[in-house]
Amino acid sequence: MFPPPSADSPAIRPSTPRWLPRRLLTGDFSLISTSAALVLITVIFGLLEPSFLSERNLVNLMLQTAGLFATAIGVVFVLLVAEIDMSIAYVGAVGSVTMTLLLREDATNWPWWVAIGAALLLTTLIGLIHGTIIARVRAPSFVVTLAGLLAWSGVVLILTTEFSTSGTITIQDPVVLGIANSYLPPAWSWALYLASLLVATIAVIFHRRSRQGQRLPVMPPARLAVQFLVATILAGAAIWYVNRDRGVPVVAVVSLMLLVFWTYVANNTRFGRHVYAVGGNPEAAYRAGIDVDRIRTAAFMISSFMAGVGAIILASRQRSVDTNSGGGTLFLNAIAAAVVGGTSLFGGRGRVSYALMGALIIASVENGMGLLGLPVGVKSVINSIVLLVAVLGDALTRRTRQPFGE
Amino acid sequence: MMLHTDTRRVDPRDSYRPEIDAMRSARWPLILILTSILSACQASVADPHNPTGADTPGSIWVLLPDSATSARWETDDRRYFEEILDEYDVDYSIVNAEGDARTQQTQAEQAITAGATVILLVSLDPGSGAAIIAMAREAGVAVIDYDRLTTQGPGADAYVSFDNMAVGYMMAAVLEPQIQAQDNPPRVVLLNGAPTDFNATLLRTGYYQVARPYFENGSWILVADQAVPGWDNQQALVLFEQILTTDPTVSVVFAANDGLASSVIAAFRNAGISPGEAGILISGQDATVGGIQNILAGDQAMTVYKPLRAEAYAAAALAMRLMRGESIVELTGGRTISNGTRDIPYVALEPISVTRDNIHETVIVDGFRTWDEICVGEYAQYCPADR
Repeated sequence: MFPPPSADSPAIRPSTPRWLPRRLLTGDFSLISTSAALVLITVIFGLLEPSFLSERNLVNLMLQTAGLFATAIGVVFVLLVAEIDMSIAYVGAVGSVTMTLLLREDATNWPWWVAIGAALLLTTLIGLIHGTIIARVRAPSFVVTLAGLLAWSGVVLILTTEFSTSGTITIQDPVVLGIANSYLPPAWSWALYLASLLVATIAVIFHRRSRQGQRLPVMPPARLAVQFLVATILAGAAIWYVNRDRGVPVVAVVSLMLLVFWTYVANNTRFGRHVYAVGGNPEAAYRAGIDVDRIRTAAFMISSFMAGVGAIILASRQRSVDTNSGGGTLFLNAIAAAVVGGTSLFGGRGRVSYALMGALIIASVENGMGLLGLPVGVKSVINSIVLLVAVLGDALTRRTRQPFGE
Repeated sequence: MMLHTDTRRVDPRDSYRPEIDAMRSARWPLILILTSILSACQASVADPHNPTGADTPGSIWVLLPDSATSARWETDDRRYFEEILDEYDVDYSIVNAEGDARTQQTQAEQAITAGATVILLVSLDPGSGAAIIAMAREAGVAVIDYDRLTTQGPGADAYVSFDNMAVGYMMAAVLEPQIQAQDNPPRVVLLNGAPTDFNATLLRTGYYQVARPYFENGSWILVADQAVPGWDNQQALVLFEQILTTDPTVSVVFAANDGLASSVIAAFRNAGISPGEAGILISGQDATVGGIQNILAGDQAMTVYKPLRAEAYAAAALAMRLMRGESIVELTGGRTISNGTRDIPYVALEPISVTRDNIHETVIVDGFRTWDEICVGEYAQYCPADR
């Protein structure tokens, strides 16, 4: 209805930078460059430390990426509308601490699904508060969410110290622990693989039919087939490989579901198109009749909701929450994951899959450096280089796009 | 009328102007500035206590470091200081720098301005700690290093702490016989605390002192020796998962505190190994509820309990003597510790080792922990029936 103004939005392919062969880049530039970065990381760490390539480490990587990826999805939505959310880590921690408190057997002892639901409802409400202040009062998002960062870090501290004397509260609920600590039996993983293939095939066919019906351009069948085949083989190989170790982590399936769901929301719903429109050019979006305030508020609600999801995954992995929940490197890593994946800080450009690629890059660098046993200082320097290279990439692609009118 | 409606549509307040977007690109430096301003404002919430009829000169200020990395400062130390200083009937203030060294310097300036005679300082890093001590000395205010030794500069007037090297030594010494009894050559990981925390260095020195001869004669194998930035449990989890990937046969872990130990246990369990059943020995520190629970379940071999009340009371006793200008030799017993510049009078408190056998006699009898908070859910089955 409203053609998204940005080149990276789902409807329009990005213009090819002139200095690269056009055929190579008719797809998505960010996905190609981040895939190349992942291959490079794999080769480097694989050469330095062979156990980086082990099946055990692939399972580790899946576990280590999940919480970061979930949090980074929210960051992508906020960046898409050209805003920033500083509070995600602590908002998420409010959610995970609330869930843990509600699960305590000696106190409320709520069933897992009620506790998780209540926690996510709470974080979404926090997002609603942030978003409403930002969109309706027109307060700058970084100050509002900075205030949020301070406030919610305080709430985490109050909750963890008020209800425990040691500041650490353990999680004992088997379902919640299972989120990040259980694996699919091999038969199930293959059944899920086949089912996903079937659903994906049907979805692609329907999507093509509907686009052709509306006389919209579709991908050439040959390229589609190649892409589909590559994805099928890669996924199959990964499942075969991790089944030699502990198997496919449940949390990897959760990540896949999050990826599919939020990609659908961003690409195939009216709401998603409005998000891109608002981020690309708010004035144009406003004049086209989009309720800009509502879209901005919704972006902050998504960011807080996904921060809650991410924090619950991390708490399940940690088997506890503590006074330091939400601290540490999560906030910086989540923003970095979105940006490293290719999401623009200037709005309107980015995808949910970028969050996955960015989270994979950050997590695999962290993972590889852990295997090598590098000192803390060296790790920080290397992390900063990864981030800087990604931001340079963003700036460079922006510049090459400018002659095309962005 | 039409025209009127049209002007309303382009009312600038209703419109999203490009210059706003241009301003956004300059947000990152602003964020930094605002963060520092806000954290400076946030921290200086003093908690003045002015008991009537106080006959002591001046006041005591307690400068706590943060509230997030360890719960002890706000939940334990603050409470114990209030107890004992109320008893001494002296003016006092307890403030917390929330992890920001500049904030702590501001708080020290406030303390001096407000007429403090003794400052109890838990420094955040050696540099800012030394600056505070130098400033206080110039103003004639005594400084006691509480729990953390400020390792540079002029040095405090006294130092109160658990002997952290003894804590580390205790971890290794208590586990030594069990490590020696392992069937295969023990494969040891040192999971140390924050590289910026001098206590973490002392702890490591302590357990390394015991382990070193064994590493040198090859009977124990050192698998990894890594520090966890900011004692962050989440980072410790990833670190240990990776250590376990390079060597799945790790059989001993010197974890510098209970939080790191719980991350180690989580990593083992995620890898399908139950540390208790596999006979893996994991140390800890602080006697947290989680640590005691892990000990009861058999997953953690020991923790070190530091009676914090004793530490706070010792510091308060020192402060009172310094305030009245009395000698502190009776309290220190003449013991000193070097901060690199000079020897500082030192009150060293003895840590206590807690294993499955003496939980009741130590932390429970002391009132530091209760069975009620420990015996929750699945852990109840490990608790004594007659508690």
